[in-house]
Amino acid sequence: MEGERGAVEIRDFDAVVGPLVEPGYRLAVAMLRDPMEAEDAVQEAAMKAWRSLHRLREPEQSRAWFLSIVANQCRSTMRRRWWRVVRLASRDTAGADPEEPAVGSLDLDRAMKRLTPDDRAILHLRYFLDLPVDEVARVFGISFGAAKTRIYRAAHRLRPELELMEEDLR
Amino acid sequence: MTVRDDVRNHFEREAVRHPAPRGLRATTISHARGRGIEKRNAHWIAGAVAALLAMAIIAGLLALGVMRQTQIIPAHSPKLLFHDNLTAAVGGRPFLDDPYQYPAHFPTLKLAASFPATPDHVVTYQTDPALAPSPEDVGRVWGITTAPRIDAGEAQIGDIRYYLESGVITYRRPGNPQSVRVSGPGTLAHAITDESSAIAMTRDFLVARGLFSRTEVQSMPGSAHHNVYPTPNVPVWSVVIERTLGGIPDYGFGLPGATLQVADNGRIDLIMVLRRTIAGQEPLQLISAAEAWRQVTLGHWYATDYLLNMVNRDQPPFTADKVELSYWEGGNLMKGETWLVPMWRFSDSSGPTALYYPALAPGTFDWTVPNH
Repeated sequence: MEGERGAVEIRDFDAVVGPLVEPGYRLAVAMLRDPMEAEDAVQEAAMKAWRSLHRLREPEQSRAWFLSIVANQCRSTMRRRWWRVVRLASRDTAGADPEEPAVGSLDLDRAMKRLTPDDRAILHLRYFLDLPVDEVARVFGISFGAAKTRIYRAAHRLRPELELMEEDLR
Repeated sequence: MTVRDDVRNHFEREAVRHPAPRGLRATTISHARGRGIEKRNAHWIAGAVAALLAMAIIAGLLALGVMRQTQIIPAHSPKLLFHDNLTAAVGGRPFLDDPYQYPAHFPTLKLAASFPATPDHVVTYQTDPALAPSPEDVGRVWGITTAPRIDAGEAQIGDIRYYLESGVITYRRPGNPQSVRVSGPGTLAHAITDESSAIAMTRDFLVARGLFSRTEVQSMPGSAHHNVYPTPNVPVWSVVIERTLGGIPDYGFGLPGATLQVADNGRIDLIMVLRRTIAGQEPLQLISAAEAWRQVTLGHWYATDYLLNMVNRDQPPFTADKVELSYWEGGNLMKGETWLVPMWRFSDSSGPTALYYPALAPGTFDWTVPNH
């Protein structure tokens, strides 16, 4: 360790961040819905992670730490003017994707597209990546209770008719 | 159908529709390091430019002389920078720390390869950061005469940032000063024409800078790939020279050996060298690959190169179609107490995953047997 530097060193970058690149990419695709933008976002996030690796005190927190950088990078991407004009304007009018494989999934996929990027991200983290709620909270920098509330609201926006099981929120 | 099922199904379809690009991990890590170094150096470079301009106004040609001194061009015959002690006995007993691994379970572990012969003994190496060269030596070999600027365990030597650990302040953990990185000016001998020319010139470059001996570097496997990073849209060659010891590859954290990023015209954008200095060696008895595989199938594998599904415990079926002996950088990496421990490595060529099990006979080293 180098003085005040954290427990994880730059030479461990591959070991710590490497396995998180693909989950980061998947999160970026969920938020941005654009593979090329997602690839750029995860590369930018990795660079920022490289530069701030010394801030990672606990290797066990690396997943939440890196995914939070990816989520922030995606938000930065969406703040760009062209993104707001081109992407967000088309969000509510998105029609059926001709590549969508099953008619039964169309409603769900459309509903997912209508969610905000943060709603998609929180559902992705909780139900696809199976992150515990406290880790979701760390990714978003919010409290455990706030994370539960946001998961609940995002799920209800997706499926208003469904009752969430308590186990879904644990 | 629960919300969880709905969401999972949706994102699984998304994953099929938008699979992660091949090589995403490698290019992202490499790109991050390269860009990170550029940005970290940006302020320093700006300051240096301003200082040089001022010096030019004041001192004229003297400034030119200073700049020449800081060029990363070896002025004379190469001198080996790292000195391995391959004859000394090790001090202490090899050990493996508990690796930082994500939980993983393989539903099936199959074997589709024959086991290589088991050598009676293989050398286990101990490394010691204290044997690594001083920042001044690093600068001298690279023809840099300006004094290193050392801050928080990092030495800035011209364009070289050298990670070191003084060991004087007890709060600082012994680090691994074997990492040498260079960014900025520097070129290979010629423009790169193809993979073999990239590898050959990189080997020459490493020898000329004293990072590896000619004998060493000729025994190290090399590969070169031409990549175009999307941001910025610049084509570069990524050249990797992997470290081997006695013909056995050295795997583990980082990329032991050397990695260069070079533009088509031979301009070097990035150099990373990870080369732990060997302090001693001990030949130890090995177990067979068959016994190691048996332990792997019982869930006792020590480490993985990669998990296809990092976030969920369940992994895809694994079929080992290559079995090889390798070194793993074990010990306590955080404390610089490193051992190069022989490992049986089982890899599945259908994906990037590989599983490791220690090749050393029980009782010759210390570790906690994992139970996945």
